[in-house]
Amino acid sequence: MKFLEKLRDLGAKALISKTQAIHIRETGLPGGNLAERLCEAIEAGKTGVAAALNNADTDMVLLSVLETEPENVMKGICAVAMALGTEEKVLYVPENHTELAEGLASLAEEYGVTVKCEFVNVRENENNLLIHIATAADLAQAIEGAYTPGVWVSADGGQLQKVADGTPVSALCDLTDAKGLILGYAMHPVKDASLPVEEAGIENGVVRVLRSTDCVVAETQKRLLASRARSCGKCVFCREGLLQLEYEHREMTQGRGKQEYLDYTHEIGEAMAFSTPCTMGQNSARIALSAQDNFAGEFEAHIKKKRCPSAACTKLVNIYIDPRRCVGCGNCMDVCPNGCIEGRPGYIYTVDDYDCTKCGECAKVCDVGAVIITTGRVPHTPQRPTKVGRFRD
Amino acid sequence: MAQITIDGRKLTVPDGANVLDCALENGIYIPHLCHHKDLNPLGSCRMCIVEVEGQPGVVPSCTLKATDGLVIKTKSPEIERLRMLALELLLTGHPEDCSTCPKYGNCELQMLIQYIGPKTGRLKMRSKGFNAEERNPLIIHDMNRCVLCGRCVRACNELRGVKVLRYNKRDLETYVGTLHDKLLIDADCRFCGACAEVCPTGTIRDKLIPTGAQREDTIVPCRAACPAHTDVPRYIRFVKQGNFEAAAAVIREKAPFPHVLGLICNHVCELQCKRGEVNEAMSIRGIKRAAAEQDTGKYWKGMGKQLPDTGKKVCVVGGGPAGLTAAYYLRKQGHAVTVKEALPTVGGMMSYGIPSYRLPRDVVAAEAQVIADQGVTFETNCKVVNPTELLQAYDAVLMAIGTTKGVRLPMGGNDLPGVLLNIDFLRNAAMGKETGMGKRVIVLGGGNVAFDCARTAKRLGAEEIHLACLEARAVMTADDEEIEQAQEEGIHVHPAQTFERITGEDRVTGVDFMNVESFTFDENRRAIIQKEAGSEHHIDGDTVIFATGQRPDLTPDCGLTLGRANSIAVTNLETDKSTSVPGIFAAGDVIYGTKSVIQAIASGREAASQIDKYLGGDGDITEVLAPEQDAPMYIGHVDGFGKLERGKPEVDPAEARQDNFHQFDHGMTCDGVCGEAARCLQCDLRLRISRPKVWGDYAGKEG
Repeated sequence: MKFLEKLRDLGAKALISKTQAIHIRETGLPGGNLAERLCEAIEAGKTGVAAALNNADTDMVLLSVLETEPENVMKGICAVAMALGTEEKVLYVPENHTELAEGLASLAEEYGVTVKCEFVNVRENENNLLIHIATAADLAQAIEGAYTPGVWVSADGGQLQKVADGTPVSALCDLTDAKGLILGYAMHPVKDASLPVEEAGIENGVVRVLRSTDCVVAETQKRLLASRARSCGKCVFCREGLLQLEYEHREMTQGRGKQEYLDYTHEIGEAMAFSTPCTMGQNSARIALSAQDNFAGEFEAHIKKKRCPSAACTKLVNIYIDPRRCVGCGNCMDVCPNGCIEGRPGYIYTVDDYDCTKCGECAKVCDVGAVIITTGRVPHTPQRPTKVGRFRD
Repeated sequence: MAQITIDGRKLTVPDGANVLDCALENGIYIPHLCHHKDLNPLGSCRMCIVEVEGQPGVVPSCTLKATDGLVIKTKSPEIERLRMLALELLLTGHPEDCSTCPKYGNCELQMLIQYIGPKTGRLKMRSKGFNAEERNPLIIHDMNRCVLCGRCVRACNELRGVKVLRYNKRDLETYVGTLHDKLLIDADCRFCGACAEVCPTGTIRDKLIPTGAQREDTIVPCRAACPAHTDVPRYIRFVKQGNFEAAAAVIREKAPFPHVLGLICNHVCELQCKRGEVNEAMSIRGIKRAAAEQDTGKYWKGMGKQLPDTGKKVCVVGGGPAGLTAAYYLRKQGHAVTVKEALPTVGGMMSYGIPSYRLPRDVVAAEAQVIADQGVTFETNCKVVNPTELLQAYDAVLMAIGTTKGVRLPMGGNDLPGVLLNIDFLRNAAMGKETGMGKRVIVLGGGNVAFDCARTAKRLGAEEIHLACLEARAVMTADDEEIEQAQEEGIHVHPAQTFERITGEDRVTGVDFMNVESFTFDENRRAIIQKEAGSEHHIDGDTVIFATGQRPDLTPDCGLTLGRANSIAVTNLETDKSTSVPGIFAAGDVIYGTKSVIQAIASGREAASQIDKYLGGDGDITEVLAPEQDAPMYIGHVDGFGKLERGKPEVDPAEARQDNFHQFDHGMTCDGVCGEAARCLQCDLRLRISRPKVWGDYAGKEG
């Protein structure tokens, strides 16, 4: 427990001035200078400290900070508690991460930290200073003199790493075929890849490149659904707003989108930002708002033309077997989960559209690229068994 | 204090006060849903949003704290737009079936919709697909109607400390339930009803919804069921706290015979007890008995009301519970009261009807003495023949002579030697006189009096005792306890019998019976009896006791107009007990037929109040005797609360009790009583929860 002794020797005042001198930037929301937040908290008479991921964070890539350096997180919590002059120390591990929470139990006890495995109830934490888990780790590093400034990033699902300030996003990922970016809680145009990491709003460590096969609408719907799943559901705007937004986006991906959904998204999404008390409600609609602002064309295609430009929305695409390319191997028929591919070896296979769920398994196994997934029309295919090579329009 | 301005109105309110509450208390309506005055603000519904001068945007007023100089606006186009949006969102998960909802007309959400305006119908509606949970006692959970205002969760956790209700989530739907969706009884719910009380919609609701004038009675049914409206939950709580004297004082506020009632009250309160829906009803009478037995009179002896003498004189005819009660309260109102009792001691049926093994005579004597000590004069062995003559000496007369004449059913052999009447038999037994009973006794009748006769006969040495009645076992009017104990004592009980004839030439030799197949009443309340063909049978006996009802001992020449079954006719059974002769009133069994001691006490109280008014008083006989009570709203969690069993009294075995008149029911132990008192649901606490403030309360009062 050398660290705790060191803390005691340092004293609260010296700790705060040290923090001020080092200028630790808070990870996550609301962000900003940690020293300033500490001073505000002392002034507001906060009686405890709670470290957590942001409630809005559904990707949870930053959780690996806790997994890889748990001791630093504990130390950071203790340091903040000392600065506040409190013994009330809480670590929130996201719900559904019970194993992680259990694994931390003995370490937490050592540092006098209470571990709670739940969504952060901000009302219960009114008197606590909420800090990010990653910030706690940074503070511990700073006290040990090992703090490196930067932004935590996991690019395209890769390992979480701390990226030095000034590094452009483009340096972290392959932008080949990119049509957009997910940076933190928002969707950005590709040009934003030139932003330095500290200005790119990567609050949850997520950088993802959207390529031509990724559908903006479907991606938005997926992320809204993840938020719905994590939201505690106590506040009207978060619970019901997310539900409406997710529903509307799902409808768009299935060709049932309506023009007015875009207005509703704005009306509800903008109100959510200031009508809820925690980061979940405040940020979860940003993905939809930014997607509509930056990718209006994709939304228009889904709603007006019932077309998914990236052919990712299965309800909006057609699958057929090109009768000129088909070699009659039957691999596609073997993998079709719904038995909707017809034919026999040596003959041209065809897709029975009626039962097809457009899962795309057939396309994956076709060695000659004869299974075509298209957002356009389906050309003529054989109406009766036709031997390979015998097809005529 | 802070000066705040709401919509131009200046208010002075405590610093840091809840702005929404300040507005509501000062006649300014701000729509709200998740907020409840008794609960910590949540700020989740966004109905109560306001604009604060000098701040951008809107904030919920329920989480806004009053500071000096705060200026807020409760109405603006932006506020209204956001409120509407919040309501629209809220309603997407709420069924649109107001008209079939049990909460229709009492629903806060419905009233909110009326205030804010109808929604546009543009958003996606959904049914949450929950099944209404109706398996719990007292309370229904219909989570389809829930708008997640969270009041119930806060009421259960913060206000009550029971900590049963929580937010759960299933298939993306948040809902209110218990841990692992257990039934309430398994989750240790205390059935206090706070959740149903604060629920603004029809989601968590009582199976019997309390509304209108009956609201309090529905919420606290024991108190409502008691004819004297004894404050049952209050005295039970005193007993739980170990303050038996205060509990006795609570009972004394309504009835001057706590100990008698603790032993023999017919406890209609227990039939209505909500705890009975959970597992077993409270043993209210047992608790009352304990309170009375431990009482030293600390809170009432020499205290309570005693108005100065008025100079008016009242004569009470009949020293039973109705007469004595009326005498007691009339004396307290300052009148000179004389009780004229025909028998050697006062008490009426308490002294001469109910056998002493159930009600020891010293208990009656002690409680009658309290009435004498208050200054009431008893004249015993003094039968009044002509009540109207009393008016020469008295300013008012109360006839409380009870029903003291047994009824002889019209049937063959009903006047043979060996045929006795219930009242005569019990009175003679009580007075130690010869009863005329033989060795083999047949009691006809199925009420408590019939069992008193049968069990008295047993104690007087009868060798074989049969009790037969018309009613089937399940609908016999006697208490189950009486029937079971009589059977334990070897008394043969024969339900569903018709009495054909009493046999014998010059003395009773037995009774002929037939079995009853069905026993119903027609629309004119006339009994229709279907007998089982060929079921004639005979029971031998040398004594038959009629226990088939009693009538007042009155003749038409008594000077008063008589009503049904020889009763004294009064103007109104409850509200006006004046008889056909001005100045003469009547109360108790003599006006409504044989009922119970507690009913007689209630009737006596009403008569006292009415006579006091007649004599120029204000008729207010209420008094507060018990000290203030600490009744915490925070009742906490109790493991296994719903399954706590009803306290049992210690009862002597049949062999030890059946040959003597000693009291054999020794009540619950002291610990047992406190434990029993702790089972109470404390339904009355719910009445202290603030009522919602709805738009209608403010309509027309603001601009």
